[in-house]
Amino acid sequence: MTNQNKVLLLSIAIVAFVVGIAVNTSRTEPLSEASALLSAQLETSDPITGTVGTDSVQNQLAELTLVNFWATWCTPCREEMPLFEAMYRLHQKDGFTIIGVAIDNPSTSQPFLDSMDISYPILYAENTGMQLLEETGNGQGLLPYSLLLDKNGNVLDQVLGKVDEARIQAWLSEHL
Amino acid sequence: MTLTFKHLIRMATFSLVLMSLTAQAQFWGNKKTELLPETEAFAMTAFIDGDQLRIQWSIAQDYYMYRDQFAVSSKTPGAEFGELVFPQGVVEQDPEFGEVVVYFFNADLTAPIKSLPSSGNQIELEVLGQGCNKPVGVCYPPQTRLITVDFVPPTTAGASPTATPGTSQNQQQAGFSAASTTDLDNSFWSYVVAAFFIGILLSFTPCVLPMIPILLAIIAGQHKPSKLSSGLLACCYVAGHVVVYAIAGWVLGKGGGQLQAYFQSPYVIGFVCSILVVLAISLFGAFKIQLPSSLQTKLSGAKPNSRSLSITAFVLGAISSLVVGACVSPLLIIAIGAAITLGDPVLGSAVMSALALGMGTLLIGLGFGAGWLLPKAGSWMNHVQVILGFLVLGAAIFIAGFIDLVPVLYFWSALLIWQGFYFWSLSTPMSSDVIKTLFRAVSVVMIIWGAAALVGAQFGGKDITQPLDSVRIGSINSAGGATIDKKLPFNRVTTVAEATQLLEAAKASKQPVLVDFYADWCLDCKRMQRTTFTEQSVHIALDNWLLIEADVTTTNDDSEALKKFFDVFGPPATLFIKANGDEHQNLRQYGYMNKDDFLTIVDQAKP
Repeated sequence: MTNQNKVLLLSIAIVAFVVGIAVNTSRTEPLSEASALLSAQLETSDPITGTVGTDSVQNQLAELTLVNFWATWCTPCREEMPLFEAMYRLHQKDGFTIIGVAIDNPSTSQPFLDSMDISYPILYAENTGMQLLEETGNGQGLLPYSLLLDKNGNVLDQVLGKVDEARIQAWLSEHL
Repeated sequence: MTLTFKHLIRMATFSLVLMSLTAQAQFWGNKKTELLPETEAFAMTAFIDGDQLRIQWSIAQDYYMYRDQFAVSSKTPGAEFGELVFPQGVVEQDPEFGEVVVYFFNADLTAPIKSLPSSGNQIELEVLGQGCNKPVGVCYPPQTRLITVDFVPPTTAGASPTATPGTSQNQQQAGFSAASTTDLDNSFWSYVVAAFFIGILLSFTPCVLPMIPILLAIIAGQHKPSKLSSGLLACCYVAGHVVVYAIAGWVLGKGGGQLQAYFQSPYVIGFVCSILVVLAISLFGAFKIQLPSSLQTKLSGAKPNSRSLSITAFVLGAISSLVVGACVSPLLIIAIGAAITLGDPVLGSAVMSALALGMGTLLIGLGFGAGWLLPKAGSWMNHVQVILGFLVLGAAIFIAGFIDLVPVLYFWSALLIWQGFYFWSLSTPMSSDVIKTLFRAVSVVMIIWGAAALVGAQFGGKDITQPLDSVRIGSINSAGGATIDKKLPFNRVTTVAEATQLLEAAKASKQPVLVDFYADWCLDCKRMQRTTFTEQSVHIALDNWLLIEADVTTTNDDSEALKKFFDVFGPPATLFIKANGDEHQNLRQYGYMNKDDFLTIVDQAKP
């Protein structure tokens, strides 16, 4: 091998190394677009009377809003909801709200909500839910899925899987 | 002089390529949480077997499915099935439903055939199922799968669909056994292939790093190294791993013995370290490693040196693989989980061999590359051997660090300072100023790093990558007192009876329980005792908990029963039990946890 070739090889290796490191460190997931979710007219159901109506996420946005997709058949979803309830009760006064979007119908969901003592608003998207998930960057329709929105409905963060308390605390201290 | 420059360039190129590979590997490693498409996570086949319908879900590793979400219905008129019959599954605690039955790996469902259509030979079924990924904690939406199933129509006009004539019964029987074998084969090979890729991922972790200098040392020991013979030596070395891992897999699959006990035993580690030190001394030129001459004449044919070297490579490969096991045991457990669950020694062997092969892929590539990398002969070869000797000593220190009592930083410091001076001496006869100063710069860095390690060692540091970390922590300590000497008040149990008694008491007083699986030979357990469990914040967090230490140091019927009772493979394992006596199954941990990880989990487990 000539010296020229060696230098060439070495420079390729350096480039590969730098690119490798750069790609590795700069990897951040692109945030989703929530416009479809914001405007969707979803079903509501009064927890006591069972009266049905419609509402949208847009209409319920607070200073900081966590939209949580869940379903009764999803154990991890139900596991994290008591934490959401606690955080909602503690920080509602600071402008934080949680909206649960159930990929389910009110009659199946209500017993669960009652037993977990959930008081934050729930919207129902039994039939349109999967499409909504796809439009907000969750093509496989996996649950639980949570989006953190600012007061204009821009996505600040998104979590597939359970959200832990530390993360919510970090959100609250960063955005409120 | 040309030799120097050429080899510097080669070494630099090679190490950069390795590093960039590592960077990429970490990148892919990070993305490992990527979830499988639903059809891969939950694959399903169905077929007719005699008088029943069989639906086989094969579930990817880390995924599980719910029993109560399974269903099947016929889309073809005239085909009807009875209630689904489920195999025994794993009982999980659900906050809402109480006990829920789930399946890992496989769910083999059957349904009696009530009737089949009198014409045609295919029916269409709609099969429902739903499942989740355990480690990530996400669930897939309920699955509806359409599948077409063949059936053998009645051969004679008079025969009723349910009373199938004998001949076709036989055919179906034959068809079934073929189908079930291929199904088993599929999952068998998928485990083996998965293990191979886990092995490749593992080769980019520090666990496999000590292997590299050992292998290079063997290769450099040849009289006339060539690309081909170096590669073959690497293959022998990896073959040594594969054999040891295959045996380990067999043992695990057969009885699920305490494999870690052997891997993590201080005796094994001490033995391997001494072998490495001997290897290093021989590389420094004190003597030549050779098989005893009597054995050598017996084994050797025309090319005595190359054959005895291959055997040396094989033996060293086998020995060093013992230690890698200590480092990667939690991942090993995941890889072999299926074999243990199924109690299948053949699968265990296959999975572990594939894992070893995967880990060896990089090494084999390295072997073929090394022939190109290393200088052919002459005085430079001697220097390279000495440097490899230093690297082998480094590997020995790294491995010795698995034992918590060894003050590794002292050894690191000695090694680095020694090596630094050696580099300085190398530079003296050099004619080129550029190379000369480069060598001196490297030697100064080594000496400074060695000195830092010496200071760190005084403060009880352990980590050569951050030698002065302990000094920093030490100063915090004297100021604030972050750790305390007091031991956590663990109740030590060795039998199921003792454990249940404590659990009952805790349940009665509505106290949450932490169960820590511990053994004297479990190095990660000891490390946790020394670090995590001495943190004041951990003591505070566990204040109202009942702490049980399940001691399985001695392997006997009691310890086996204890592991079975808690459904634990072995230590280190940490279980969190709620005040009502149910376990937080999702919080169960295998392996070492530092203070932060531990506190996060305790926090989640809080009642």
